[in-house]
Amino acid sequence: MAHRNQQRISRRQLLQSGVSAAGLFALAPLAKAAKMTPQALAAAAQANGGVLVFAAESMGETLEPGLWNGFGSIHVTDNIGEGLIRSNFVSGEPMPGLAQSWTISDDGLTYTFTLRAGATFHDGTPVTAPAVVRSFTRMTDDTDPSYIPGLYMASSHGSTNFASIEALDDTTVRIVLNAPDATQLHRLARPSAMPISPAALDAFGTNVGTQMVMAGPFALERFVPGQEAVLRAFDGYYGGRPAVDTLVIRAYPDEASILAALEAGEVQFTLYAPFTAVPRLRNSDTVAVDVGSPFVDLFLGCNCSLELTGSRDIRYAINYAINRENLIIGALNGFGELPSSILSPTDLGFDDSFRAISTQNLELAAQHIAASGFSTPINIELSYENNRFWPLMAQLIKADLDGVGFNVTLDPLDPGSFWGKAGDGNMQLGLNQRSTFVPDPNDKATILHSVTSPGALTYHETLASAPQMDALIDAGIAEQDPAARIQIYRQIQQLAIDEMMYVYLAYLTPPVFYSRSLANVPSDSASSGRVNLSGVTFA
Amino acid sequence: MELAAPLPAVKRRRQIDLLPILGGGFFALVIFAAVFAPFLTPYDPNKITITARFQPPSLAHPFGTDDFGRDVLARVLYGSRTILITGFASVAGALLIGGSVGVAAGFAGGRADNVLMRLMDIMLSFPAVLLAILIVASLGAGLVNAIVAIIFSMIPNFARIARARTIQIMEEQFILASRSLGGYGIWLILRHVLPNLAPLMIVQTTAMLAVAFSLSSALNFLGLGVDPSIPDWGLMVSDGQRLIFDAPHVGFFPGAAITLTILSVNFLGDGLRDRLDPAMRGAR
Amino acid sequence: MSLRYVLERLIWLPVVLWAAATLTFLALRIVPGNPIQSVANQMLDRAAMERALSEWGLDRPIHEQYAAFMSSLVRGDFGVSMSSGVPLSRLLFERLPPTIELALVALVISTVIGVIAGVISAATRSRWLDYSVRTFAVLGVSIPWFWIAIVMIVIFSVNLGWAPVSGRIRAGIAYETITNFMIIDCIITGNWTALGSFLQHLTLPALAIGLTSAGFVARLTRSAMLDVLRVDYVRTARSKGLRERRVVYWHALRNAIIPVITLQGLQFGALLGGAVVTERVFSWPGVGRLLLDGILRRDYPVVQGTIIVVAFIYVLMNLIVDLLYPLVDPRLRYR
Repeated sequence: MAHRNQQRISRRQLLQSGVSAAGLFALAPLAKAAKMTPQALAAAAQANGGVLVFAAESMGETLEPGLWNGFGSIHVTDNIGEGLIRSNFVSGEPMPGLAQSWTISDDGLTYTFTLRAGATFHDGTPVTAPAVVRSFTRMTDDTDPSYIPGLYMASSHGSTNFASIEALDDTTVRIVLNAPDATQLHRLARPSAMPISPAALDAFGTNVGTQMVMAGPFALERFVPGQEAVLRAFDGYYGGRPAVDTLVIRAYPDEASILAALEAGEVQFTLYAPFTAVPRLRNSDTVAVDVGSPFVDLFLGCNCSLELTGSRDIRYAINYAINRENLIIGALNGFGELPSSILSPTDLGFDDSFRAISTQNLELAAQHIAASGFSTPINIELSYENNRFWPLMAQLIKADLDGVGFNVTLDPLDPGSFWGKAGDGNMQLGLNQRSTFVPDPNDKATILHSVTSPGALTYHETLASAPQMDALIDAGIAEQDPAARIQIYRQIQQLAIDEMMYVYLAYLTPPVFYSRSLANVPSDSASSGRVNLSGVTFA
Repeated sequence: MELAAPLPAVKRRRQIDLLPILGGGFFALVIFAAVFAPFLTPYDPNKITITARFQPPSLAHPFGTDDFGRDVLARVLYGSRTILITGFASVAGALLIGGSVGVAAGFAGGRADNVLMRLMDIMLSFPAVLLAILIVASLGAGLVNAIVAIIFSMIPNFARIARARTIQIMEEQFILASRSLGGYGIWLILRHVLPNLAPLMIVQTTAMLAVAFSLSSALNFLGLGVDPSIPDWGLMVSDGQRLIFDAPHVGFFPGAAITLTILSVNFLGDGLRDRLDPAMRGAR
Repeated sequence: MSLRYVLERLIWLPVVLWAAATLTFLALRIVPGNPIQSVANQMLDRAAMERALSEWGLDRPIHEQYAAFMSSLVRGDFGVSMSSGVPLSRLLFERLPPTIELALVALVISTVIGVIAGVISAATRSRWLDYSVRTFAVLGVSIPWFWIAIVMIVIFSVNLGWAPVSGRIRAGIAYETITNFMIIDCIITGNWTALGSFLQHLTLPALAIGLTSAGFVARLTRSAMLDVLRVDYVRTARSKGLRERRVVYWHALRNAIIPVITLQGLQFGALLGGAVVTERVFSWPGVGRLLLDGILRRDYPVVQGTIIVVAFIYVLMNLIVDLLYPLVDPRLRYR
């Protein structure tokens, strides 16, 4: 008797477990998320004390703005910090930040900033001119208690071009440049140029990066290196206390988890969910998706110093072989625009007349291959970082190139190996992108400069036209008149297209995902990667 | 829990264990698919048709299509070749090296044992991820290099298990008896240690096969190169993970293929184990 | 005898650590890339990059770098992360406790479930029960880890709403960090809200790891028990009464415990540095992700320091496991 009972139970158990196993694989992914109304979501958020969770792809080990720590840290700094200047990504204008006003001398060398009265750091100390100056000089002064080796980001806000920076009085900062720089104001909006409380620099010394005290809309409450930052709305912010009480920026290294967290109502804002979810989320009651602006360039760098990719015909053959429509659909899920040149449509001086060249033309590809003198099949290696949409892009490009007579070997690498290989000069073709940190065309054009940005993927310094390109880029930032700058940047784009050291693939128009419980989400500028959530409110 | 069952082992021996038969059947199917893949599907596994992307399973595409409109069934069929090579080569390599080290250490004892096992400690504390990068960065993202990385990361595991069991066997009465009768070295290992070790090592080997498969897909999941131009189940699963909400079929079918293959190999291993079991041999 | 054995093993400890550190040091310098290069491409010009390299001493010959590394290591100084300037002691304090917590709980889950399932499978008269245990044991190990993790998230977080998706604690809950072992800290400070939230967050990742390794444990237990049950003990048991048979089962179980302990010791070590996939999917701030990020960024001190600490705990665990053998099975003496 006992036997039989046991047997029956075990069969039923088997059946149950079998069903749940099947469910584990098949049913669960197909099931729809539990329905929640926007009101319920907003109520839940309010009940949680007005907490907004922003899912980042990563979080640095530090918030030290003198170092590049990935976008997670940039997102934190953009919300706790405030520069002298704010960049308006939509209009491309420099706007007053901690500096209320400024004057620029006629020779373009002397910048005089008047600080806003009443602005304070999160520790309550006032934002004074000496404090601002200290934030700049500490990155290049190895006697400063907060100095750590390699604060290289200082050069991105122009420190190498500073002849002097000084406080004329408590509210006036004067910067004198060695050479005129039309993009200097925007440079001061970069995270590395956001002032840090001198009291904190003295108190925390080299550890200030994990206990950052700045003057932005949120104050840092807790920082877990590599994991998350908990920010609290700052009462003393000159622009008024943000509506969101607590902003948590947390690293979600996995795309699918971001999507799950978004749908479970655990995350309210992100740029990093899989693009493939968008068509479904467009019909969601809880999650909204906006399409960003084309700030980011995607391109294929051709190493001009190597024999094969040093051939302009080969570079042109590659350019004409690639079907960009397929890339945008197949790898970017439609979140891209057809490319024109090194500048993106949001940039001053952008010229869309190169779209005709940055497009597939198999006949021209064949002509260039014939003209190159290499006999087919031409073996070539395509390197890329094995993350995000790069593997998809690489496979599509391989198919296109193989179709015109190349024989492509795919070379997926981790980021360290990718840049190591690029730095060693052994990489034939490398996929990469250029983001817009500040809305100025120099931000992208500068990667073509042979002195300030040699090597990388293209080794463009080996081209005969390198001096010409350098002269144009230098002229582009020396020129103050926007109309004249437009002409210069058109010439830069023309020259870059002529040389084709970069083959342009697409402009990324990344989707911005957020909970419908939020209002006033700055989707447009956020798609540049510079996200300031101080204006966001709960709906 | 009722432990006082009447003679379970004896009773089980008389039953036919169905699982090895099922396992063997499925595994034969996998081998069949690997050999005859081109005849089993009309599709080229690498043919890109962007307009046909993310089609759900249908008659034309029983497993649906992926990001590029490639037929998932065709890729699963062709992918069986890759998995057979990667899985078996890596586990066989690790078993051979790790098993020998473990038996040698357990048999020799003393200082040799200590040195060998500390060597294994060093290997184990060296992260597989770094090893994989090292190999891929210096040799490239090919199949063989993935196998080498997996072998290295699994050697210590086999060694420790083999050693523990060897010591146990050595301590058991019959070895002591043989030793006192003048048996030595290699003969002892061949006659007593290996047959007694085999059942456990077979279980371990079949289980590590799962680890080998998981490891190769995990490496790709973590962004460490696996060449995506060869259809590979592990790669397909890790690629499909981001699609779990929106096109689950892309990862589900190769995932199910991996799971069923490992399942079948394990059941086969169980059957093999029962055949090799020395106690069983005595009973026949 | 036993004391000598322990001492001998302890003497080996620094040797193993030195070898692991040296291998890591060399491997990192062989692979392409350095801590500055990956940001160098777009963020800074060549002069700035060279300055940064020289400030970190990376322009010096390898043997000098090695000597500097060893001399600070001997002084117990793990150094400072080259990509962030944060001392490694701080990073390990933040990242090691979450991993240990996760690994311990996962280990308990896998041992309990695995041993019970293995015993049932070996001892039961029900073929179907045996089949289902064996099937699930293999299923657990053969479904790719990240797939299990994400499917659990889909079911339990998104659809059922039982457990949170990610992180160690709900965003916005205040808590104090003392030891950074959340359980201990919450109990010390009496912060039951945080403790509850932490346990909720711990559930899915611990289950994801625990269930997959429970499969191994179940198979080992079953196999080891059958080894004993099949040999002559069964004959003994057959000739004697029920009480003796029970003794035989306990004997069989004890026989199974040795490989299980070995396996779990290994697992714990592996989980310290190797739970990367689970930590990634559940956004768990553990040491596995620290190590992976360090490797991807070529942050030499982070990788070296993490590996030394993981190796230390790992070797210690192995020692403990070896010392446990004779306690479990008196037939095994120290040799």
